[in-house]
Amino acid sequence: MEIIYKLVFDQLRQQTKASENNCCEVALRIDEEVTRICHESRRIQASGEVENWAKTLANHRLKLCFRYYKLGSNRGRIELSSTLSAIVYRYISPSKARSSYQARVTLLEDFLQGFFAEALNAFRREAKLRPDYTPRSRLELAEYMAYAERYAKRRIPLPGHRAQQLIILRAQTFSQKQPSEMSVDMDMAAEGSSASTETDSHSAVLHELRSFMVGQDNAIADIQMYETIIEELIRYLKDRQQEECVQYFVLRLQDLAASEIETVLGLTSRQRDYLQQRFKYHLVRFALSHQWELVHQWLEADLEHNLGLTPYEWQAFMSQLTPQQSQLLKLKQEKAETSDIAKALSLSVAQTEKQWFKLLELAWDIRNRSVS
Amino acid sequence: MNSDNEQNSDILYQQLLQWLQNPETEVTATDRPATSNLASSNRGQIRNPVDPVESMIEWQTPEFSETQSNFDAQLEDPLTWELEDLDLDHDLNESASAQSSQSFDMGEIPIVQKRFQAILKRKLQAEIERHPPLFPWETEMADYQLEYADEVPAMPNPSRQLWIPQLVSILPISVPDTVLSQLLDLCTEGVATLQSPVAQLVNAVKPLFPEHLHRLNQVANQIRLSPNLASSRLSRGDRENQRQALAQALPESYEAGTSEQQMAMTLLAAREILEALTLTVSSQQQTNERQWRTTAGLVWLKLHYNPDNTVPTREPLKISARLPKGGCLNVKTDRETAQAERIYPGFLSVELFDWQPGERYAVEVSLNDRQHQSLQFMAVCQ
Repeated sequence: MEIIYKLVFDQLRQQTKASENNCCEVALRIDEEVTRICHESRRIQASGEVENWAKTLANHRLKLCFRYYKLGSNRGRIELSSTLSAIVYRYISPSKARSSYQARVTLLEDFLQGFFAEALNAFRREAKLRPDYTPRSRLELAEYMAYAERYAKRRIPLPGHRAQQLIILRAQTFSQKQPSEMSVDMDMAAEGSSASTETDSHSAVLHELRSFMVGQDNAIADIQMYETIIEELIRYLKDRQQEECVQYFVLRLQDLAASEIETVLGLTSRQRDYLQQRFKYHLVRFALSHQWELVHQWLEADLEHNLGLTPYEWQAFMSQLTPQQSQLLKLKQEKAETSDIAKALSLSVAQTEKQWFKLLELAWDIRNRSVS
Repeated sequence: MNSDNEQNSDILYQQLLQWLQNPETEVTATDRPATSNLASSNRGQIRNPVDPVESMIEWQTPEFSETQSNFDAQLEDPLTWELEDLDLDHDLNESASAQSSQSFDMGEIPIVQKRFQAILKRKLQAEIERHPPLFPWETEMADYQLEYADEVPAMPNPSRQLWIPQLVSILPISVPDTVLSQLLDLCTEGVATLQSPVAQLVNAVKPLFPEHLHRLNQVANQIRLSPNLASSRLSRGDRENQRQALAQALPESYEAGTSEQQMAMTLLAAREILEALTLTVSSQQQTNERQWRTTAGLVWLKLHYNPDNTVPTREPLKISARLPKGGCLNVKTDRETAQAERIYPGFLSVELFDWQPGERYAVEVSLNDRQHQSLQFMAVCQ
């Protein structure tokens, strides 16, 4: 495709100081790759817009290449390595069940060395270069770094209509080769109190069984609701200028240990503890007030399920309510608006919300007491 | 303080966080006595949503073959590779987007993933800045070489760079690496031919002065009679005197010379290189050795012939080498190949049985460094 070659070549000439020969070689490689993808992709062929696709793909390559070209050798490799490390960080696990930031960083270095070599070989092979080709100019180095990033992020189709990024698959294989111990990751230290033993029981067998038992439709609906809750919670925290809580939450979601969170966020244990308390405050308010309906629905503890209480517990719960609370519950079950409920109860909206919060808290308390 | 309330909200927090972190984990009351929970099995009403990560454990385990070919075979449409990157799913009415939403893992909720990676990237960047990684081909490069220039230097060819140190002082003036490197290539080709020494010389230099073949021949004839700087026929003192005399006759540097002077300098250098690449022995001179400085250290090579007149069969030619790092020694004839290799620095030796007097045999020395070519000497037994 002459057009693509010219487009790429002209851009390279304009935006880099590389020699004409060098620009020509790189342009030929990009042209060839793009042409091959367009030719092999059934979707592109079916779209009837082969040329537009070719331009899109070529521009995507150029954009990334220019980014690395501008960064240059040193900053470019730092950018590439940190981008890739962040992607695979949580898949790179040291042999001991308990992971530390430093241990992972050391392994990440090893892993990336191997990955860079793989990317070089893949590049040589796909671009039909000599088996001993190595980048020599700034442009060629940028071309390689851009290739390595795209190669890493390739979505590899897996059984069951799933896909995973190539570099994550590599990281998983890499981690499996690390000497491992069969152990349960007891993240005892994470929350610091005895009541907070958060077992992280990744029992593969159990989950495998479950995945058979739970229907696919259900699973997808659950995933969507879960996703919504996470997004809502992050928005809720951001609206309250709790960016640090968002960071804490995100790191907790990825199973980082307390010490790891401290290192990553640059906090002392005391500061982390304080941050955790703040997060707790907001999380509880989010779950029992701001988005109580969504959260309870997800847990199947909404009003239609009697707040997740057994008939016996539900009786006990009802018997503890004041007349005002009973009326509040009744109106909530009738799906009345909070403002209307407030009017009916002669309360302010804020007072009504507070009452409802207490009521939900009571339900949680009953559930927990009856088990303990 | 209301400690009951406090404790209650602690429990609540733990439960919420537990579910958010790991929505499918079913924790029984006995696991967490202090934090009983909704999901204990006899209650049953509160079901935890399926954990998409865990349900994918089976496929996440890279059960697919490690080999590239099988891996490639799993790649369907090459466009799939980059849809995520391009954010162009909407352009395609196929199931690409459905597919990506199914390839879901808790860490892959886009908003969480994006934020997590941004946080980690910031932190890791600081770490990596302290020790920027080297790319695979850079492990033996000097720091200054890690800055890549826009122009690809036409020369020196890195594949020859390893062998250049020996040539740097070949003439009493400095000759650019690019010229030396080219000369080494050309002389390596030339030395394998059976041409006369002058023809070898002219042929080796010819490609550098393509327009001046006639003049080149003239200059070659002029310098033919001048003594060879490295010649073993000269004493050490004479050699030094020769060098000094030559240094006075030559311009300050290669670049400063006229084209005719450059021609002469190139021819002189080529003659030295051709000489250095040839090892000759005979029944009179039974050993001949060479030292060659490389970027990895000194390579030492020795050709040895020990005729035993009492034996009717011909004694083998013996070639030994000492390498500054792991490498390989290889000698070939039409009918025989002798090779020896080692992983660490040290000695190697091979013997050639099937040889003819006056015939030139290529002795290849390579160091374990895929980025660099081997160096080829010629072994001759008169």
